Amino acid sequence: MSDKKNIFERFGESQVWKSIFRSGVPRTRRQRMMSVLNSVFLHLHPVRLPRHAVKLKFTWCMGGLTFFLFLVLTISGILLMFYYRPTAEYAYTDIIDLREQVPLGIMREIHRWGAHAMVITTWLHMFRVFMTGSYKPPREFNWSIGVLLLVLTLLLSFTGYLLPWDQLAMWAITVGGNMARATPFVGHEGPGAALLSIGDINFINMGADAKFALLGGRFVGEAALLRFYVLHCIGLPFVVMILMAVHFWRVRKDGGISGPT
Amino acid sequence: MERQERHYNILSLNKLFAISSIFFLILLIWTFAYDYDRSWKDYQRKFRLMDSDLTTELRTAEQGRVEESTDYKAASAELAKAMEMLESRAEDLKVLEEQQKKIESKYYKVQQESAFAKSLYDVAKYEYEAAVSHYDGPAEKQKREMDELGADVYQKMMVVQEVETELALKKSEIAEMTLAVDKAEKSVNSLERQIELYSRKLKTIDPGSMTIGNRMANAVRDLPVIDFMNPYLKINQIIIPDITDDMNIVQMPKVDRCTTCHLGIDKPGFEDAPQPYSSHPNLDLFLASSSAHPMEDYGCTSCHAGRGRGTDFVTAAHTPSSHEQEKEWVKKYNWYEMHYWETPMYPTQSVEAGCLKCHASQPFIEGADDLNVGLALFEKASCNGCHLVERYEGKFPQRLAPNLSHLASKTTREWAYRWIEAPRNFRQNTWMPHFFDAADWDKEEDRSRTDQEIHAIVDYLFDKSAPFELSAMPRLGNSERGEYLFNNLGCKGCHKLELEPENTPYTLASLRQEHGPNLTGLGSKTTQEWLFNWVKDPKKYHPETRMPNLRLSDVEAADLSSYLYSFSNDQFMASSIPNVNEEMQSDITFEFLIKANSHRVASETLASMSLADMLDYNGEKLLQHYGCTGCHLIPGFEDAKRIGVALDGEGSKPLNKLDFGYTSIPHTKIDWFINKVKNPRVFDLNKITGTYDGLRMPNYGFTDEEVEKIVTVILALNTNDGREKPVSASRSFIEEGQWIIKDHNCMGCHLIEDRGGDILVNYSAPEYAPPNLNTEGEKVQPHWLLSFFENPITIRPNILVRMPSFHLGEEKWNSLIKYFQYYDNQTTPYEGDFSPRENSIAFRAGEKIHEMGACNNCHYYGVTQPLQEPQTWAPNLALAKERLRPDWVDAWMNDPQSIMPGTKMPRPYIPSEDELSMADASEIYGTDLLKLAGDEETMIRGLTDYIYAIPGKIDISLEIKAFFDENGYRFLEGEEESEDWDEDWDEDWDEEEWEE
Amino acid sequence: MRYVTKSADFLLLFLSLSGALFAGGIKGTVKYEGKVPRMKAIRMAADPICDGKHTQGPARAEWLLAGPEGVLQNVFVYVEKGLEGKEFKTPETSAVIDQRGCIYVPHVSGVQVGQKIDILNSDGTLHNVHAMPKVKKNVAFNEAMPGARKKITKQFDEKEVMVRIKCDVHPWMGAFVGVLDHPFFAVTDKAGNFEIKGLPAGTYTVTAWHERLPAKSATVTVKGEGEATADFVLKRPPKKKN
Repeated sequence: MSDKKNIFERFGESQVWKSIFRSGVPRTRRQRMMSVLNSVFLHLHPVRLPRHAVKLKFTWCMGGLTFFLFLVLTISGILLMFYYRPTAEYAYTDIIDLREQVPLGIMREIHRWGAHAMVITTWLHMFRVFMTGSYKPPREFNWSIGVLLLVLTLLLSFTGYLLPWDQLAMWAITVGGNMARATPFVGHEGPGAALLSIGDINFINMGADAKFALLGGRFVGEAALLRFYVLHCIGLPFVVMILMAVHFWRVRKDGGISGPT
Repeated sequence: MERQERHYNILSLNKLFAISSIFFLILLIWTFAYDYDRSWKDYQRKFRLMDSDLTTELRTAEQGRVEESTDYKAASAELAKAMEMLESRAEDLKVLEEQQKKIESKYYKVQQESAFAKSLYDVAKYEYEAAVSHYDGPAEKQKREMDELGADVYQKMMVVQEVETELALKKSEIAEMTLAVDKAEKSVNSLERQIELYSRKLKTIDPGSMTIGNRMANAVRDLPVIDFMNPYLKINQIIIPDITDDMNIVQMPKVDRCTTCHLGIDKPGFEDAPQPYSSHPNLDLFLASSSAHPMEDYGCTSCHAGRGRGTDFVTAAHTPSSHEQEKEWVKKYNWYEMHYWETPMYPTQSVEAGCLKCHASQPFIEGADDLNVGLALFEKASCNGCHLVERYEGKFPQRLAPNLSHLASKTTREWAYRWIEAPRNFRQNTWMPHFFDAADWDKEEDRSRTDQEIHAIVDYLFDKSAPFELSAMPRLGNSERGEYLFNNLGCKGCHKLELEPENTPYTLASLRQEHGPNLTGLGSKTTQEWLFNWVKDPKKYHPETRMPNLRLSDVEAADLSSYLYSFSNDQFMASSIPNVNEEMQSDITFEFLIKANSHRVASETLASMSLADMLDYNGEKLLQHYGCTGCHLIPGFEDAKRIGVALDGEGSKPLNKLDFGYTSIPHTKIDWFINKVKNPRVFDLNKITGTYDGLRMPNYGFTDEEVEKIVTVILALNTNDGREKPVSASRSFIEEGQWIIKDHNCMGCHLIEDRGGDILVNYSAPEYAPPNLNTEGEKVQPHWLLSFFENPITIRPNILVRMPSFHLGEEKWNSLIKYFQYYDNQTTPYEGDFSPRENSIAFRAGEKIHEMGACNNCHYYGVTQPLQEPQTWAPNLALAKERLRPDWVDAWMNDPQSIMPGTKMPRPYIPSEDELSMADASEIYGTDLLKLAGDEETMIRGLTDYIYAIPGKIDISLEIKAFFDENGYRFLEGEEESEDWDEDWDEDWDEEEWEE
Repeated sequence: MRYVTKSADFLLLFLSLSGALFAGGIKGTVKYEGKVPRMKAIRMAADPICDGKHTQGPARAEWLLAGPEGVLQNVFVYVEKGLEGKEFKTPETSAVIDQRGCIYVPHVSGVQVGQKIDILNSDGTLHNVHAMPKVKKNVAFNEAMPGARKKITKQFDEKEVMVRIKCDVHPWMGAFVGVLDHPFFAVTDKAGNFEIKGLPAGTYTVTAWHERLPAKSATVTVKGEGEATADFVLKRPPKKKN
């Protein structure tokens, strides 16, 4: 018994520990406080919480779950990236190989199910926030950030959907592209596109409109696949992470989770 | 100054910030501008102006032409008239049109009613069907309703149809009125169509012809940043997925962006424009979508090489055609070579190098004459003898040079020594290269060694020469008669007798005339006896020779050999030959021995060898070293391997694989090849190499033009990707035949596929020369042709030139016969015999035509001689039944000139209908011809029938020979046709004298 | 634009018409300078019918027929340059070349593009008429004319100076026909004289062609109705190097 205490204590006061964790092993209140404040990951949370903040009946923990799922998706996604090649030649068969041949290929299932789950939790979280009136001042701005995050989540889903490169994927994105081309003004089949022409030259045309920008071409092909891959893996997660940081920070600043207005 | 709260002075910071902001702003603008300003945009702008100018010109010309044409004047007059007429009835037309409108609205109404009725019926029908099928109960009510409604539907449908008919009627009434105008308008429009097309084109490209809106758009659409949307100036590219560029680890489909700057390349009308706007030459063969090489399927780089993805003069890997042009380009375009691009564009003089990889199976390629000359030079110089090229395997012999197995019976050691030392001293246009005396830097000290090398080789060849029995000549032979034979018998189809060097550049025709060697100087080389034996039967001495057997009689052979023997080359034979030097011989032996043995063993072996042994050993080793066996058949070396590097893929060799040595030759592939072909051992300059480790390729003495053509061939032998069209069976038969024809130089005497016939210049008229083989496949019966090839008979009685016996073997003969047949699309191998019906009207009519035509004036009938002089004689008609195909004879009779241009055979006299309807026609022409009046085809068929029935000896070669042996060929020195005016003029003028 | 071309047309028409009204001519003599070679007799023994037609003595070669003082017969004189852009009607009448005594008569003649040439056979023996034009649009022909066939009609569609006609049955027979797109040509007679009538005023290049002597050209100006003179002297070609 005294040995154990000695080892842990000794280790907890060693320079190695202190260099990594700065404060000692949390024994005192102060140490517990500092260990949260000093950690870049943990200081996301406040040091102390009111009891009602963790009431599940109030928050459903949806926001947290969404974030957790985001982390799961990021890690499983990175693992998938080792074997997936975003070319028309390889995409489909790589996914099949991931499922059937690659060890821990269950990452593909986790990623897919996780994506579905994340969308659901996002919606539920939004629903919860609405129901609990947590959008009221001073939290209006945070609600807007949340909406943006919702849109980005849906876009992440949309871009990820193309990557298996099967019929479902291709046609789904085709439909999406067709919707884009019907956008007013910036879609070449939308109302008002003809207004953006001078003489006989249409500036918004099949080769230069929202659909073209989305797909990198006039139809869903290799260019679309590559584009969506980049957006899905880097572009959108990057923006999402920035907005998430803002979103969580605002939660803290606006009075903490489930805090009073 | 009060102390500020900031560390740095804010004012100076502000200044710095301002300056750097402005600087970065300028940088930003400059970045956009630099990126925007591409060189290809300038070319596109210029081309737009050129295109507008050309289109305007064409439109004006077309307008002028159309307005002048009578059709147009008539059509516009029609139109004016029709319009006038319509104007006058304008009121009626209006009434009709209103009526039509009323009917149309009525139609709309009844259609709607009918549709409604139908839908009600459908409901009732459903109810009924549901009642019957689902409820099993009686369904009378539903049925009644359904029937009622059904009747209603039927009624309404009838109404609709009525109104329809009414409407159609009214429409046709109106159309009738406007018919004339519509027709006239259509014809006027169709005549003006081309003008309309030009105008439309101008509206899109010429700012001057555009509407205001388009002019504005034109200005805006190419502005920076906005030009992503719908620019006029854009990169053009052709993507060819199935022809690829080799990127070492992957094959990338070609993407050719050449047309971004080369905008006129596929448009006619820009032939005289400067590059890059000019049209491609020969658009019917290249680029047009209906041509054999459509641009969309082949792009540009599959023929021209280069870097298709480049959009800039330099990055497209253009190659200058000379060093002068390179300097020009450096100045004008800042050109530099794309160092890591392994397939730079072929320079203009070698552009046909791109043809070979797709057309590799063909012996010569239509339309690529530069390449054909290069290939012919390549084959003549027997490059394939040392350097394997897959193309020739099985199609073209490797060894083209004489067989050295019986050398001692042919020539002397003295001659052979001098020949091997410097062949061109004896025969300036020989294809045997110089192995010794090859370059300026051959060192003097090497001279003494190379002299001994030649001694060793000569010694070996003569020692190993198998005995060959020469049969004796019956007599010495008449040299003058020999000259006559040489000029007329057909020797000139393959040989020249060029005593002084003529130094004219090679063409395909001149290369055909050098198929065999230049026969100068033979008196110094060999004996008359050997020449006699050779011309009598070449294959006896050299079984693989390509020289055919001229079936000479002993007397002829003696005369011919006497003539050829009369030329000697004393200057050549006067040069001195150094003595055999035993010390040097042993040095040489030692060099070879130490290649395979240690020094000790080598010295021991050397000590035990006598001079004769050393000469033998050295000769053997040197023959292998210099690769003589690549071109000559040498006893003991029949299976020896080629000593040169295989040349397939040579054109694709990366530059770093070519050894430039210590020379200052410019560092490009083409320069390396040029220098290699011109001076093969130049890359050993200043190098220290072992005695027998240096470069061995001999010097051919090519001129610069020849080098250029051969380099084109080397560039053509590459591993680039192409698109070989699968060769159809008929195409492969034709190609097989073409290889045989090339190998045996048939085109040296005969015109085949409109090429060749070079021997014709030696004859006063084509009828005295070897015939044009146009339509040979259609013309002759194949089994006759085979028998002719195996045993040529005299067909044309009055020609001196003789078809030789080639002894190719049945397989090759069959290939050749198939070639002729497939070339003329005569692919049925079996045909029945043709037996004419001798009792028909046609036959008798043919007989009459034959009589009137006096065919026996010129033609032989069996052994019956023709009535006219020998210079007009024509083939034996009794031969026709065995030799010719009747369909061809019909065509021949119909129009001889179209089959053999320049023939003296006239079209037989076929009386016209008018002539046959004259009063005395039946007396002159006979009743049978009258019966066939107007039917020329049957008349000609009757004539053919008659000819096939002509009896008589078929092979009259002996009779003809007998005649000409006695009477000679005086007419060939024809006075009427001669151009020797001097002779005529120099005769004495004597008024009183008449000559009988 | 249209008005201008129309008026230009009218002007051209006027000029050409007026040219016909105010027409002049060119005449002259062609002489040969040098020693006149003897024309060899032609051996016609091969065809007895031909032989039988020359009872008064054998026919002679015709390639250089020179009279006293070297006046040269059978020289084809024609306007080579100066008539560009003008169009001339093809005459309705045919030119005639006869085969008489196994000799072509006339030896040298001229026709216009599209004009019919009647080739007659007055000999009653087999001849064949083998024309050898070199210009692409002129079709070469080789037609048999046995005794029974008295006449064939041919034409040439493109300008060519000169088309050679020969007979393959009788190798000594030869004729030359000059095909031009205008009617301004003539053949010198026995006295070496020629006359080209009806030329509108202007400056022309006139060429004298002979079947063996090198042709000579001269620039001639025709004024109004006057007659311009152009004389030619043809010489033997330089000796050929053997």
